[in-house]
Amino acid sequence: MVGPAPTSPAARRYAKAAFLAAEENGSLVAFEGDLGAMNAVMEVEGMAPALADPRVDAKKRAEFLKRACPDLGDAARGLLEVLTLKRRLEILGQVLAASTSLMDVHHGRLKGTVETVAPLAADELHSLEAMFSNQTGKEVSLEQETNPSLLGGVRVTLAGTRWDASARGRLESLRNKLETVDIG
Amino acid sequence: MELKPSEVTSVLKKEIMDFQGSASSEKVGQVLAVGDGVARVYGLDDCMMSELIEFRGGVMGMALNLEEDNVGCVLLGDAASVREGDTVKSTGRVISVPTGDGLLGRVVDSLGKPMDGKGALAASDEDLRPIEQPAPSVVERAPVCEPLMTGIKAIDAMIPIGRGQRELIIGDRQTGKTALLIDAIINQQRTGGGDPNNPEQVLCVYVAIGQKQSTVVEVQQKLDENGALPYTIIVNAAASEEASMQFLAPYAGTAMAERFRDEGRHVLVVYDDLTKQAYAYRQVMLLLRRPPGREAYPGDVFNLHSRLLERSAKLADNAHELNPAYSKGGGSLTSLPVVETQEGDVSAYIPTNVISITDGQIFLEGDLFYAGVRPAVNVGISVSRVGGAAQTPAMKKVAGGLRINLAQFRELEAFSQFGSDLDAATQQTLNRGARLVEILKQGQYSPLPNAEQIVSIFAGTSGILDELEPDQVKEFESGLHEHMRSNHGDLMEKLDNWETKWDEGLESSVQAACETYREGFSA
Ligand SMILES: Nc1ncnc2c1ncn2[C@@H]1O[C@H](COP(=O)(O)OP(=O)(O)OP(=O)(O)O)[C@@H](O)[C@H]1O
Ligand SMILES: [Mg+2]
Repeated sequence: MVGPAPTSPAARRYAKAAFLAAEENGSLVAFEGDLGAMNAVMEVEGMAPALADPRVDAKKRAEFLKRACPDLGDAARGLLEVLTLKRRLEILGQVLAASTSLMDVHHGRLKGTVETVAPLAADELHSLEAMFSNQTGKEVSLEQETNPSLLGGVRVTLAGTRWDASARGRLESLRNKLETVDIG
Repeated sequence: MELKPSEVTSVLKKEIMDFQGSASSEKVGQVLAVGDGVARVYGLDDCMMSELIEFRGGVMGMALNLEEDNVGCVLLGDAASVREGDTVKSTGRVISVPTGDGLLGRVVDSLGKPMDGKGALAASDEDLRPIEQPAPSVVERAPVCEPLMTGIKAIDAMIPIGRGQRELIIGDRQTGKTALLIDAIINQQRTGGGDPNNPEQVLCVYVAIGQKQSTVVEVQQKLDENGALPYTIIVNAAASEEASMQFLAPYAGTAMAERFRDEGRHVLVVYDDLTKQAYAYRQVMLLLRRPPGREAYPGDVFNLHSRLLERSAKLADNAHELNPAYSKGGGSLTSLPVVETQEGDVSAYIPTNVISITDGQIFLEGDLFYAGVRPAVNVGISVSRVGGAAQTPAMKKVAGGLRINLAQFRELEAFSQFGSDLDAATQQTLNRGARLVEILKQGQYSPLPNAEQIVSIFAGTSGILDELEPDQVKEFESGLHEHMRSNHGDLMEKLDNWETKWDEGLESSVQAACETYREGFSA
């Protein structure tokens, strides 16, 4: 995965509106909490497809979600109502993702992935994060992924840029170099 | 090139020892959707327009649509290995093709890869040039002043082309468009003996777009048979190739030609044909969901051709002092774009566009072609807007009245079908016209030198043919050419010289020589 998942322009518009509403109300902190709560519900197995199921009345689906997260703030509640009203509940997942990345930008956070052959120890991960935080001036958090095809070393992908310090990457660049060596 | 294994090993050893295992960083994105030769890529925020994008398995793509959150690109190769979710890399490069002498005599594709089985190209990394280049500016250009002889009587006499000009060849399918281009290329042999190292030799680039593979093979064969291949590059984007390759081919061919132009050489580029390029561009743009306009072409289809044809130019002699990109001034790039019409309709979108960008057009007409008038040039609506300045003075003088004579003939011919009683003057115009039409006919693969052309046209306009039956004209003409070369070699040499002026002395000697031959011919 390279950066956050793609979201549709419509989802981004809803997310931006909800974010601005929360900011205006001064309830950004609460809104962020609500996002977490709703994301947690969405992550429950089978929940996302059920919430997007057009055979079930939209109001019922929204009601269900509200019951699952009982104490939503005004901005989050409003967002749900509007999505229901506009028959757009099926993009809720994308709206949440887009809102989360807006939050990340707001707080100067950057999320990325780190690929290694075997999982990194916690302190190794922290030192990597600190290194990239230093370099980018943002608060970097890296998600771990194991990828045996790297053979060794690490590969970090952050905001559309990939730093490759893996054995495979080095071998590949050596191969490219050898292929273009001018032996004439 | 002799290579000893030990040398190879030492080079490789050095490379490996110098190789520092350093971390590399690159811009990556992800394939959102792929199909029909186009892909949408998510990420790649700083992607440039026309940037090359590397997909898995080394397949390349080119960015064409930069949108808010994704990049639309065409795939320049086998799309089958590209999957949704693949990671892609941006390269920071735009498409470049090899250029230079190493390509002469070769057949390459739109990316400059050889496709004639004759091995690798003799071209290095320094020879790479981006396929899109800015056209020379106003101060770097000079007016068209030297002729580009096609060796085809009807064209060199009435629609002369100058070096640096853009002359459109337009006509329905199967009207001899390709034949005309091939003859023009073959005729360039006369400029430098067919030796590409001779600085006088006009070099040629034949760009085949969406042609049948068999047509291209035939073209290559004919050029080879006629000794024209050594100074010609064939850029082939056949009908079976991706649409992206087809619409890139003309730019690639032009980049190769520009290299020679900028070194002070003269180059002739033919695009066969731009209609198919526009089709390919339309296909790609529709798949990328650009809004369609007239005839479903995208809004920038005019620019597709104008920015290509603007690169044809005659450079000023001091161009290299004005711009270091030119190593020598005075070069030229002449182009003969081809456009195919449907039922002779020149008012369709692409024909009108290209007519307005070029410096004239040669209209080939199906009716004439089937009536046996070949090359089927419709003189009435064919023009050359700048080539007149470059026509050789002798040809200019001799062919002066040809156009108007033919026009009168065409008019009277239509009219005379209604009545039988014609006055003598009308009869005379009709007789003369019929012979002029005959003398302008010309077979394939037989472009003529300047002197032969002048003699033929002179024989027609001065009335030497009037006594012959129209079907004798062809035989008379070839006999006359032979007679002139063997008995009046000095005269022919003089006529071959572009500088020679046509004066009374010259006229009377040519007239006398022609009359001597006619007397012998009728006897
Ligand atoms: N001057 C000529 N004399 C005799 N035959 C000719 C002449 N010019 C062309 N032909 C013949 O006419 C046919 C069509 O010519 P050509 O392929 O050049 O046409 P075209 O307009 O390029 O066709 P297409 O639309 O298929 O590209 C060919 O078989 C060719 O040999
Ligand atoms: Mg053709």
